[in-house]
Amino acid sequence: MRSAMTKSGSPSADSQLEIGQFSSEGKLSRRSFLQHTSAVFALIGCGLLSEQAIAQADDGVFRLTQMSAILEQLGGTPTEHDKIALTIPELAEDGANVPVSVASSLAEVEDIYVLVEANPFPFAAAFSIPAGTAAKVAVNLKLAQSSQVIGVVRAANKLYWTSKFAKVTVGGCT
Amino acid sequence: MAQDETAAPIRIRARSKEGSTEVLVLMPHPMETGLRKNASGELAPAHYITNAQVWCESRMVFGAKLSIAVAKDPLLSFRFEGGRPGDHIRVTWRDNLGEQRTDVATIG
Repeated sequence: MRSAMTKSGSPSADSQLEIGQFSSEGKLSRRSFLQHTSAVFALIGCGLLSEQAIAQADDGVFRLTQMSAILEQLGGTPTEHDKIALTIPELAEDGANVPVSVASSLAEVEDIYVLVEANPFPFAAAFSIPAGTAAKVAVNLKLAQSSQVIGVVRAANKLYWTSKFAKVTVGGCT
Repeated sequence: MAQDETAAPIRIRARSKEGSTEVLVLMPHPMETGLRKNASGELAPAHYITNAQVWCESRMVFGAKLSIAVAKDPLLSFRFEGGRPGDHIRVTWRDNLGEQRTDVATIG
């Protein structure tokens, strides 16, 4: 069941995932960033705004551009948890190939999702972890620019998250 | 014009160790986002793996949904409990153009 996104006041969570919460490094919200024409052309040039590619994606979540919509699609607001370890280079020289791993010691992990906050389409990959498989995934991502990279874990049907910031020297447009 | 060549085989490395199996899967694939211009100045069409699944014999041990945000030649790694030397590891991927590829290896 999808729950509405709660911003604050929820007694159960110390740290709710909120829109813009990750933008600790960047001063611009994604919307105002995309309003800058030159930036938009840069993203088109790097191939991360392909309407054709997105239209053919299997799951709608890959087509969403707003974090709030993505979280709603996942079924709720994750709570921050220290039993998720996200490993990513602090400085990635090649934005087109950034190794990320997400591991969790939470019980009953079902899915692990990886998101790149500053990508035009933040939802990057989803992994299903059948019973008996370790809750640890590794994948190489494309980062359009320096960004928070977010690991979301679904465990016992609840969502948890952690994130790390990755600086990119050359954006994922080669 | 220039179409992708037939996909290269999936490279699978599976090793059994202390009751669990470590798996490395390399899926050669262009993972084209759809707006990159090729050498001729034409747009290379979007072509990327959307789904991948891994089985050990008849048991599914890993699943992945990928996107244009995944780098060329996706490399996946994971570990599952069980699996013995000689068991078959089967990997299948599907992409947005309807292509798919399955390869099998044995646990070493």
